[in-house]
Amino acid sequence: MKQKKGLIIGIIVLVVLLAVGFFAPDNIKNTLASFIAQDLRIALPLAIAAAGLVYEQRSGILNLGAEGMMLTGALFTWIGTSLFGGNPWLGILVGMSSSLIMALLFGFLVITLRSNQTVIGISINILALGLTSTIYRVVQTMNITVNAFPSISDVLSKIPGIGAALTNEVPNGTELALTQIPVIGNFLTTIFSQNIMMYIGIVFIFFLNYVLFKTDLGLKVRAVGEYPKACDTTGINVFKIRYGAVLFSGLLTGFAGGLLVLDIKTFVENVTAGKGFIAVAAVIFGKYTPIGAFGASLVFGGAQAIQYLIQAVGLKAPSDLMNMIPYVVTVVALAGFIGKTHVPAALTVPYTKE
Amino acid sequence: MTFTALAFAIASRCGLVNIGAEGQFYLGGIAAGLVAIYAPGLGIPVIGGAVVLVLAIIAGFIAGGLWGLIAGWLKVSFGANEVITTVMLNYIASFLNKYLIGYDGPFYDGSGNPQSEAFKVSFERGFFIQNSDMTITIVLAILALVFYFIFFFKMKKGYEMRVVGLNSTAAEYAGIKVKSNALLAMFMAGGFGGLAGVSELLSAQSRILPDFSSGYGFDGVAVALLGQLHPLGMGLSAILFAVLKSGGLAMGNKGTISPYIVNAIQAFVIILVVASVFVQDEYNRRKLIRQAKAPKEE
Repeated sequence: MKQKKGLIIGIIVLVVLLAVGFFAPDNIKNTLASFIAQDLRIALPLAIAAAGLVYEQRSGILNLGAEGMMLTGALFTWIGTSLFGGNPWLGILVGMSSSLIMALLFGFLVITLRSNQTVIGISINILALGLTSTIYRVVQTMNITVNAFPSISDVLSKIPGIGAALTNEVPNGTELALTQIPVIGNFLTTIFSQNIMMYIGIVFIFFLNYVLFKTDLGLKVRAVGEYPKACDTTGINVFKIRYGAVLFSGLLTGFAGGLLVLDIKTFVENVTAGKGFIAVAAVIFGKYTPIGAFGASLVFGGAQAIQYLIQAVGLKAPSDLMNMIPYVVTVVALAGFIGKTHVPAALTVPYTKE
Repeated sequence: MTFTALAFAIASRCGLVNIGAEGQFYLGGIAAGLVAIYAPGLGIPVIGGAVVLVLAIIAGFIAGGLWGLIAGWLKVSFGANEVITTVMLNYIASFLNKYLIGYDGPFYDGSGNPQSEAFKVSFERGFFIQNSDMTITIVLAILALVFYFIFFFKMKKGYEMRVVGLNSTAAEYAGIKVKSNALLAMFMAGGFGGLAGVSELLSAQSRILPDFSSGYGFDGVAVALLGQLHPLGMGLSAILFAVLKSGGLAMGNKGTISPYIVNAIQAFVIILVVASVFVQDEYNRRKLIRQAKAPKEE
């Protein structure tokens, strides 16, 4: 039922968007399309991180160190990318391995040593802030070139056979053939002209949702978060599942951090600015499902993208107040929607094998 | 630092994790700063600045307390995770401060830099030790630690709060009002976070600037955890971390070493302290198992 409610909201939003795309005047259409494109770009890292955190929380681990792991992933993606001559694919792998190490430390402390998850999470953040800022000061003189992921139209145009049909050649590259659709073409092109990672990411989130709810592995993860003792007696290795969830989530948070850096093409100290915490909030707001968390990320991304919208329509507002919006929305979302969902019963409870 | 440590410790005693000391620091600092700037002009008698300073301290405590109370209220009414809300409130407070003294803000001094007007009064330096940066706030910090000790270990209210922190269900059954205790704890915690802002701003700085907290909120978490929430321990660990921090800042000024390295050291300290609990637990557990097995073997 809860799942269906989200689906209905999603469909209503889509219908409204299409209606705007068809009937609204051009300037409103363009503003809205770039708002949506911006929203997607901001939401993707949040959603990827949140999807990993869903697995982690479902297995009974509350990772408040996500912020720190994201930050680590961001710095090392930046360093990695420049070491590999600007290659974003190899760069983000470096970033993911760095956050994996942080996740391993976190997992060891909270699973094996049964330490307080909240406190360890916070110290992971402090550790990551300290380490990344220190390392950044050392390497900032490096000659850095960061290339973004290839755009979807570039990738499609290289597919033999259908590539030419799907894309158009334009002076500085390619664009989607969607422009040829009458009335709504430009509107759709603005929204769908994302880099390839956006498409991979969204498919991956749906795949993760499938795994969590339709496969044995997903069932095990959820069971461990509800009643680890029962799992242990049926032969499920609680420690293995929890370590798996923590490490997997570490990979994804690092990946999310890497996406942040590749999006803005540079690293600054504390580049994540609370995004890790917002991802945790997205997990709760999204009712502990990867797709729900993606929807929540779109809401939080929209809260950030709205500043561009306000600038675009020519309203003047102090930028510092605008910067507050995503954080305020997060607090409101947490307060308004929590408690109506089922929280995994063994969340934050360490497991001791008898 | 002692104050932000108290902000964390008071909430912890009540089972809440307050990492919003940073935001409470800002609010307290802003409130006290505004009093220090504008109160002398409102005809409030300035007796060596003392009255204004007392007002500033009170304003800082209340402002920080109310900021803490927001997170407390969200927790008890909606069950919102206080760690996330306090972190979000930290960012909101930082942006609020930037706005207030920014070019469009109401307290901008018109100088071309985002800053407020200079304070008319502030704490006198060279307290106790001549020519040092020490001010009377050190006495306030010690008084605050003494208050913390008396409140939690000698007073009924503090006892109730500790019960809530240790086992809120049991507290509920014993007739202790869990919610109001949590709210009070967050108000007091926020208040001390606010006092930290007051003491930093009116001792070490001359006007409100953007980002005037250099991570004091998180320092407080480290101090409180290393001090194991004990007043004496927190006093000592505050001194340790203060030395580390000023050393870090000095290194940052001299060479390429980032002052942030201090954060990394702090984090390791916290992790080691928290992990050490495991060693103790495991030792006790094995001892119990040994005792249980012993009679059978004989």
